[in-house]
Amino acid sequence: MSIDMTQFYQVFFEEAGEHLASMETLLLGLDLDSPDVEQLNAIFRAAHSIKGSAGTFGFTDLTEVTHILENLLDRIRKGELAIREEMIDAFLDAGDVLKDLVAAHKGEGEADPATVAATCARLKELTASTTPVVVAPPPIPLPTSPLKGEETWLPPLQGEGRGGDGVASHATGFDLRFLLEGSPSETEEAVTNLLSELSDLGTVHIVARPTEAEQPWHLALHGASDEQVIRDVLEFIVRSDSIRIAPLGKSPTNAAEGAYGFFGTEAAEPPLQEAGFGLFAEEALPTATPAVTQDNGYGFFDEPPSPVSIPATVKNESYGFFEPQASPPPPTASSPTKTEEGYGFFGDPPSPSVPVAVAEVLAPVPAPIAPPAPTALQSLPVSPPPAASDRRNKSRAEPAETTIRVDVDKVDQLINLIGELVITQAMLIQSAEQVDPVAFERLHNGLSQLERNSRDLQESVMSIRMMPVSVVFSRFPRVVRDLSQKLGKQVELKMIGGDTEMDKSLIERIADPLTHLIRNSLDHGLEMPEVRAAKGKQPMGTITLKAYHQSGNIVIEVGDDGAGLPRQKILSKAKERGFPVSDQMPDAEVWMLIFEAGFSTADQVTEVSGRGVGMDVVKRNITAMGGRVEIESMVGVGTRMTVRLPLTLAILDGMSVACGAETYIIPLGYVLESVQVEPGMIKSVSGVERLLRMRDEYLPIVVLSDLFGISGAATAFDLGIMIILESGGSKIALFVDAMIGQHQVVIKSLETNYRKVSGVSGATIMGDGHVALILDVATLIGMAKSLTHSAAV
Amino acid sequence: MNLETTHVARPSTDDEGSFSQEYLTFTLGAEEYAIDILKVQEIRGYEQPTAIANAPAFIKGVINLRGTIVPIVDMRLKFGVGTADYTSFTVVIILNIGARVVGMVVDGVSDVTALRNDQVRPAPEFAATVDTRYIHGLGTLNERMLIVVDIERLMLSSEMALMDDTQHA
Repeated sequence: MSIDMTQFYQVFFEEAGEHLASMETLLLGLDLDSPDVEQLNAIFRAAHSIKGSAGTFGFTDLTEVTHILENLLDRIRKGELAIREEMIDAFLDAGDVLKDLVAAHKGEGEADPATVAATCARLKELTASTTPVVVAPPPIPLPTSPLKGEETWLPPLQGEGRGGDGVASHATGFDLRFLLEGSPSETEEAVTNLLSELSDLGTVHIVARPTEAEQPWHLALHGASDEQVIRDVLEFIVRSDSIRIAPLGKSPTNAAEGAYGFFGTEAAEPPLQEAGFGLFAEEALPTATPAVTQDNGYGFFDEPPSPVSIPATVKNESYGFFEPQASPPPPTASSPTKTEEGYGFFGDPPSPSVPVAVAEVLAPVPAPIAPPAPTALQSLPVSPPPAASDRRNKSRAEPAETTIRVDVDKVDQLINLIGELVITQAMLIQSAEQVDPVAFERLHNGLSQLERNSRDLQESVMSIRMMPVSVVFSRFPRVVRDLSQKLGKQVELKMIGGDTEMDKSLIERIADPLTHLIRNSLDHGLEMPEVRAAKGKQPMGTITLKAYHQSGNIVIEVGDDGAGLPRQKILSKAKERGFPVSDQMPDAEVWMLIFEAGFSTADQVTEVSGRGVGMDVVKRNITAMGGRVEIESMVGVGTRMTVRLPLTLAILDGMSVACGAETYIIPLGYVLESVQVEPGMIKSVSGVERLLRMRDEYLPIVVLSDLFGISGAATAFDLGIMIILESGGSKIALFVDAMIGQHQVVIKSLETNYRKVSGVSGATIMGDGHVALILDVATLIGMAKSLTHSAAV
Repeated sequence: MNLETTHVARPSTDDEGSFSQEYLTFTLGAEEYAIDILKVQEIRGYEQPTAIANAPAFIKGVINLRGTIVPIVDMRLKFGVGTADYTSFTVVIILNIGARVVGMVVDGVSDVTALRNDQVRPAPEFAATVDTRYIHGLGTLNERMLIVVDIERLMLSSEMALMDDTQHA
């Protein structure tokens, strides 16, 4: 069993990770001025999904944090709270906390309980700080009200006695309303289960049983005490946004201690009426409750707004607390409608004409609000039935699940098998060439059909591993946002070409180097707003992240419109550190110095950068992926770093060359051209170094058979061919026996069963089943340099 | 997998004296060697491998074993016994060493033999091309002397140069 659970855990971790990522993306994409309800809902759904599955697996810490998160989100999406910048910050922090918690459950690292607690407290505080969307005058303290901070509200209940002390968990029972999807007959079994679950918690009375779909259930549950438990039970079956749980407050003690009627001097009618809460100081005055448009709104009124009370609200649970006197709450039995549990607080003994506004009632000035203590605030997702069904329709319209989750190993296995198939097919074609094409016409036709099919198959399988770059890009808005805040810079991040696809393994590995590059641009490239303004630039700097395909490569550019790289500073730093530099070095070479280990031009080490680690790791990582970095920079205009990567790590476009009895593959990306040596092209320097003269350029010649110790290869330059290779800005002429052709080869690791070989990046299997080694051009050039050095000595 | 290794490595005691284990025996020149059969994946004929640049002479190169790149070691060159000629009878033993696959060229495969632990005597210290560290002991089978090699340890050792130095630091 435990093994089974861990399998599910894995799924949970993956899902939680995705939900967190999408939550972050959505949060960063939110327009604070006019938040999109759909986006808010999506964020809420993500949080809710995490909460739900965390609850299933018993990760209570996750459940707690998400629950608090949800409360705040819920209030925002219902429009009770205006979303503010600090909330986004808090949400992002909460997302980080959740990530830590998930990681801790995975056994990777630990979550800091203090951070968790701090984030929770922050969220609660924000949830509690009720800034309604409707702008209102500043809160007026309740001078005489004995209302304690944590006393907030009681969920509504109609047709029932009202009571409770305001803390739901102390209630002795609950009134439950919810909607089930589907017709009653369809949901019968679910209902039976639900009822039996609920009866474990207390005595269930069915108040109203729907006879048609879309009608709410109404249950009374006596004896239960924990609202959350009930909610959890209901959420298994019921649409969570249709659940309404209200305490049943019938007991006299509750009514006495908890009714929200506080009476000063004048005895008023006993608060035996329902749903009215009034705070009374001294005399009863004819006061009325203006309605508030939001749920859980609290209005405190300085003056009696009008003698006519308007008790109802559009939604539910509005409470009015009136500073000047109010009379005992009137009997409001007649007031609330079925769906709207309004609360009226009436100064006068209520006029019988107290209207219950069913329609939207906009109170002239819903007064603001003393912040209730965070703990007591339980937001109940209560929405009127029409809204609920609306939403249901919407969710039906959402597209069905169109992806499946597959283990990467399985995909890799598939790719390997296809590779085998392609090799076998190539072998068959080679064998078939020996038979008479006329007599075996059908065989040849079949084979060429097979060739086409297997190529298509290979391409499709390869595309499984392809993912859009936006997967990586999506994390950068957060990086930029956090860092720009820390540095006090104003930055706009532009991302272009997020749908460019690249191999999943590359995607995973490119994230860190790109983050470094972006941090570098932000820290070193962009100037402070004042400096920018002084230079006549926009105070807001721009970082551009751009991805596109170019001749079989993925190109990712990180550009900024900052100060540009300081050539002199880099050169002097490099001299200081003893690098072999000269003032005549071309810019491109100077820029590459920043990738040297331990090199930093930062005047001081900051939290962000300056230690000189990072950029060298970037270069190393990118080179290890078979990619290259290039820098272009102009003082005052900006810097652009271009990362070129192969499309995939698994397949490579290569040129096959022969050397002795061996075949080698050169990655096509490095090949510039090939030339047949003609007399006069070979130059020697001091009798040792051999150079190839190509259009006024002298290239060092590397003889592959010498380098690799291959016997039987051509030694005279006019018998072989020169292949001009370029990597990292330097060029060599590689001398081999012959060029064979151009292939797409499946890269196989030599290291799986053997070791890393200098000058070889991997191996592949050729059509005849033989292994061919793939040359590592970058190290070849390095080897050539050291060879010529040693030869010169 | 370690279980067998420990059994072999442990000096035979009374209650384990009758514990027997199966070995694949092969010849290198005139010598007979034995390795744990459980490390053997398969036996196949020799095919010309692809040479690897700047590798030691006993590493013949790599072959394609059903899609896997497998290095081939010629034990005759490594141990300095026999003549390293390659005929249609030359045999490659494909070994599973941990997660790795390695091919080993030998002169010939003899048979599969069960040896009781008390049949394997600790090898005396002697100077040989094979470091005695990699020899479990000498097995006696009738008049034949079998050199029982701890093939896993040998293949993973740095002197075989089969893997990056960092991996067994």
